[in-house]
Amino acid sequence: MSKRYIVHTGDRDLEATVVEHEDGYELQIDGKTLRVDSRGGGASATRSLIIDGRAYEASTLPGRDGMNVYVSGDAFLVRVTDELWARAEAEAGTGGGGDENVVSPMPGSVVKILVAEGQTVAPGETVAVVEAMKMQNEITAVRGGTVNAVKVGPGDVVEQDTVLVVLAGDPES
Amino acid sequence: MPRPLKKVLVANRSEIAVRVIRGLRESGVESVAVFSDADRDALHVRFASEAYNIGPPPSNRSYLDQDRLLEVARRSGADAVHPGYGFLSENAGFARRVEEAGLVFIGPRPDSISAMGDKLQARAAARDAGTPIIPGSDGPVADLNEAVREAATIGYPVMLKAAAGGGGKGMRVVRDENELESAFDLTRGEAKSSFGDGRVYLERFIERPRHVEIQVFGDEHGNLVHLGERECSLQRRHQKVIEEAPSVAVDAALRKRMGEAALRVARAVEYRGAGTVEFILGANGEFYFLEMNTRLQVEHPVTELVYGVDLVQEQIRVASGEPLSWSQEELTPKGWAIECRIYAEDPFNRFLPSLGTITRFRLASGPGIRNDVGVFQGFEVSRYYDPMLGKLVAHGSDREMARRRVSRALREMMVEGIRTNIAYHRWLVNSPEFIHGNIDTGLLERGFQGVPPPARPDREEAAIVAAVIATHEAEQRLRPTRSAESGMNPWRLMGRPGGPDR
Repeated sequence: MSKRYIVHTGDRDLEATVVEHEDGYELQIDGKTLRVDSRGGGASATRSLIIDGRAYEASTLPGRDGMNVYVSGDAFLVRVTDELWARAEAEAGTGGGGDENVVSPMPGSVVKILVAEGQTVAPGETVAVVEAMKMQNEITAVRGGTVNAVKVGPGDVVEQDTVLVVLAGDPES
Repeated sequence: MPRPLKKVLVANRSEIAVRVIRGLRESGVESVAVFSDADRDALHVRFASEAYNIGPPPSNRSYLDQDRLLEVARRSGADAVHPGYGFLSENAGFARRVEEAGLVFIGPRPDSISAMGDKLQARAAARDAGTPIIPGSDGPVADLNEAVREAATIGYPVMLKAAAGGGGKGMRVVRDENELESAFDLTRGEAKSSFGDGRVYLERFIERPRHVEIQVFGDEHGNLVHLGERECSLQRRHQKVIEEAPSVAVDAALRKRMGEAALRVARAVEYRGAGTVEFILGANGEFYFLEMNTRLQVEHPVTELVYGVDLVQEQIRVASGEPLSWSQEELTPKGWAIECRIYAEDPFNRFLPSLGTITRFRLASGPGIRNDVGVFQGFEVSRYYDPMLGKLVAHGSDREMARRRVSRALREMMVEGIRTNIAYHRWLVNSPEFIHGNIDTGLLERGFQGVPPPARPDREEAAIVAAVIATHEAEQRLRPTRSAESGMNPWRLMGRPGGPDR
């Protein structure tokens, strides 16, 4: 049984096929065949990989823009989707539009909110300052939009992923 | 008069508490750890001779609670207090209260702390001692209008600084008048919440400067020596990231000049114990006094490695009333040391702090490697404290050897459960800038953002393989099980959480 995936890394789109064998995996990446012995994973994010005799240790962690992969200490950003998912994504259209919840990336306390309801926020603009671990962190909008609601105020204690500000996306984009 | 210490209370937590407790144990002195409710499981509690709870997690109700600390010191029968760095280490009032309680404060005289603790007073003291200082406002600025006027006189870019600041907190670079208003508010807010003192001042920001600091050490008998420089130019938001000793920018002649300038400042405040005089070093070899840290520094291990000394044991010795164990002539650096500060933060998502439980943890070891770490597998990194997990330090016969060792060790170190800046360090230490020592305090803000360039093509291929297999195995786990008809698939079983650990 084989399964196909679409891989995005750097500015490249690749196709990868995985075949499970008794003693490991066979991967076809961009037409190249690799024999892979993978140990670990599951409860751990780290795997020992032997790829055609070359040994690596790799950790895979979900990130904002894809999977953060660390190979023997070096960092890479890789996005993997399967064919069905890629098609669904293509049909829905990617990027732009849609509402955005600006959330606190970590637990802390709100120092200040820099936007008000009705205000337009540009992508990357700072909307709030949250203090955690004795540092004031500027929290930015990713896509931007019009401020629909401000959910917290200065002094509020927030958890990770607490919604700070709700932005309505621009329907034009 | 020598008065041997028998038991020392360590008024700190995490890696520095562990470091001090190690020094005490090696000196044959008992140690008393203190811990907040969040730190019951911490390493320093496990390594000390005695341990006492001092209150709830917020540091102002535990590690900064002077009454509580003095009460524990009395109850435990400690004869001295070691403050570590941060927290109360540069609080002259606390040092005074320790001495009034009849205990030894392992640090400088309270008057030396207050003289250097106020950055404006420190500037004046350095100027009077004949050490060059950077042009700036000669006092705190009252409001935004005054800040605008002062900045115009000094000339942009200017640096906004908290008068009571230190450790890189409460500082901001302002490039023009438009940036001044928000920076002024942010810096004042940070100054108030971190130091309880909202006063800020301005000084000229020197472009592409190096941060070079001199370690000094004094005793009660008037002996004062320096242990050369540390270069700490690699900083983010004015927090040091990598430190090394010696510095590629300092030769023996400059070391002597900077060392003497540092000793003049230290002498002016009759300095006792371990201290650091920080300088900005310009491209042409001119240097300016920045501030004096009247405590042991985070990065003290690089000095220990190149000078072959133990600064904590020396602190204990000096606090016992004994003279310094080295003369200036005996102190010559040997080899090179590089320290990477390991922070709980995500370098690939705007360096946001990363909290949670460390689920897997492996330290590097082998030739030339030293780990000063305050965490372990199962430890919870909480929101209440500094995000530094510890320091990875490498020593080699020359800079390239130390660099290769630290790069190799970063490859071995593994932390799971929280994000860390380990891969970011790998990027830095293998960059052409670092390899050639072509660094300054602005380097990390100018570049080294986002995802690093692919290190090696075969590793990129391995990254793709890892990502595909991780996705594939996750999908196999999520897929509704068909095992009832097809029997157990061993591959699926192996990949399931809680399945056999491979």
